Amino acid sequence: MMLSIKNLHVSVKKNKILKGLNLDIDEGELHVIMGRNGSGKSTLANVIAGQENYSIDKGRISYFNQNLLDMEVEERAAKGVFMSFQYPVEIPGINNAYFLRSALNSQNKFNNKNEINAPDFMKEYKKNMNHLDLDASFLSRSLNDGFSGGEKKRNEMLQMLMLKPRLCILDETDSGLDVDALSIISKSIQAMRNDKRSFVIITHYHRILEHLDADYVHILSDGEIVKTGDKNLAIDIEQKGFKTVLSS
Amino acid sequence: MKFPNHKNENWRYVNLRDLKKILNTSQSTNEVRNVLKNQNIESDIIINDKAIHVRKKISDEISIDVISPDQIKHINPDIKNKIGKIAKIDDFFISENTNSFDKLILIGLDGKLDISVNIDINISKDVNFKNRFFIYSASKSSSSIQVNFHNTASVVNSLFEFFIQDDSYVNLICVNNGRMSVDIINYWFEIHKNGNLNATFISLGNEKILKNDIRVDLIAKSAKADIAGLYIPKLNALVDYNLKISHLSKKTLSKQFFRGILGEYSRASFTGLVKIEEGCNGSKSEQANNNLLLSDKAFVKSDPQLEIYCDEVECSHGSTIGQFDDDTLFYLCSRGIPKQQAQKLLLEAFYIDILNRINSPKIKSMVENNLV
Repeated sequence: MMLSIKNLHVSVKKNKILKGLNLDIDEGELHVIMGRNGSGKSTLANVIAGQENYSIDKGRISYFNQNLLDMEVEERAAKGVFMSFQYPVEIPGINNAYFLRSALNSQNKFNNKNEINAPDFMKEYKKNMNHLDLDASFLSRSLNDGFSGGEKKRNEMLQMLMLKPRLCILDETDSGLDVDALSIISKSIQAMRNDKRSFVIITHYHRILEHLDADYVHILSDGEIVKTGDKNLAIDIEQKGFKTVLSS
Repeated sequence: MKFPNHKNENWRYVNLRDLKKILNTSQSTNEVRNVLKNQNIESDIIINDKAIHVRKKISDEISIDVISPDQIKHINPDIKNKIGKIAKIDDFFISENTNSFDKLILIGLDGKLDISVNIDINISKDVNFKNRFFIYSASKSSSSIQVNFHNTASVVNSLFEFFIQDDSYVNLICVNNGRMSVDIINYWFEIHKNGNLNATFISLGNEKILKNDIRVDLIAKSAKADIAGLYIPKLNALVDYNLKISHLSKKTLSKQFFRGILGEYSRASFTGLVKIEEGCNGSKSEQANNNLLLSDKAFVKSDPQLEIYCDEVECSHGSTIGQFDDDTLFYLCSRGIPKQQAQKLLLEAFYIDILNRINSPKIKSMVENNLV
């Protein structure tokens, strides 16, 4: 099992957010998590990624049978955990490409691999930029600085394509995207799918599922996963709403 | 003029009791030192205590004269009438400097292609010294001046007057790298029609007190001043920047962009006043001061001020004081970058815009060493 979450209780400033969440994700699976605003979806994503603002009150997260909660943020990343942020921060003064090469080389160093040299890096970087329909000016721009919402999301995808993680958590990557951008991002996700790589897609809308084959769709409500189904569950939610689906 | 007190805004953040004590124990010198072996002999002017070494014949477009006070009367009247008039005697240290400077270094810049002058100032332990400069940039000339301060446990009162004539351009770089010294430095600029000043101040030392007072008068139409600074005081150093930019004519432009990185017990203060007088229509001013605190013992005061007496102008100002943003650090670490390296990246992002103005690998290296 790649990721196993057992009885997870998480709070922020004494407010309980996750209240006994259980979730298992195996290699190669694509899970979708849906839920009302405030149900705990982003909290779950951030806790897996290692954000320290959250207090783990109870429970366990195993990542390839190791205790994920004992690992530092950068260690989780080097071992293949990647979160695409709902609101990526802007960092003026750090070049986009330079940052990503630093990240890749930090991970390589952790895993006792050689550093990637600049020409090889740039070749792959430009190839992936083309796939995501990102302008050449991205090479010289600062990290997310002045990017539109759609550009930020595509930049997150670019990082994912370059870092090649094992577990990809996409926190509302589809929100705010136009039809064309959604298609580009969905294709990137689909292109990365293999039997070793897993995805957790957090979304409000089922439209991304029109482009992807989800193995499981979960509804997160009041800090727990309360219902699990296939992509028809997502269609039901869109048509009938959470209240009706959960009461049925 | 009386010794300053804290009622004077310009001296609000300086420990005046300590300053007075240091002044009383330091002494003047008559020593004439040679250029030392480890000094940068490429510099055009080297000041070692009372010794002023000027490199012979830099170029036809640069004139450097070392003049005693009684010789000023023999200078070209157009220049003579400006000496001592650009810097207003509104301060004890300016008054002290004006009344008792030893030599005036007069630098004339009259080149159409980029000309440059390097000045090294090294005043040694327990010496109390006043030096004074008058720099005039002829109409349509373009030049660069770099001043490096390496004073050690001394008390130095330096005054620079700049007379930037019509359509001329001056690129000024000042680097403070003193150790346990008290450096009171006044820079006064008078900028004429279409004149352009681009100035960058880098403060990296461990001075007991470093006070950089910068006064700019944009006295004629379309005069511009773009002034930036980076201060990274060491240990328990104190750096005080006090700027006043006066817009005195139409369509004048000013920018102030200062950043500070403070660790350990260091202290800094930034006061930036922009004053736009009546009738200065079409003038623009931008001001920003950002500070990063790396230690909870470090201290900074930031005080941007605007006085606007004209309606048709555009002004902005802002100031921040903070630490590394946790969300930003988390973002970088979530991509596999270790925390220390992430902090280093953020530091570089913080200061790089200012260093990019001067394109000096040597200064960049000094900044990086300061942050290790």
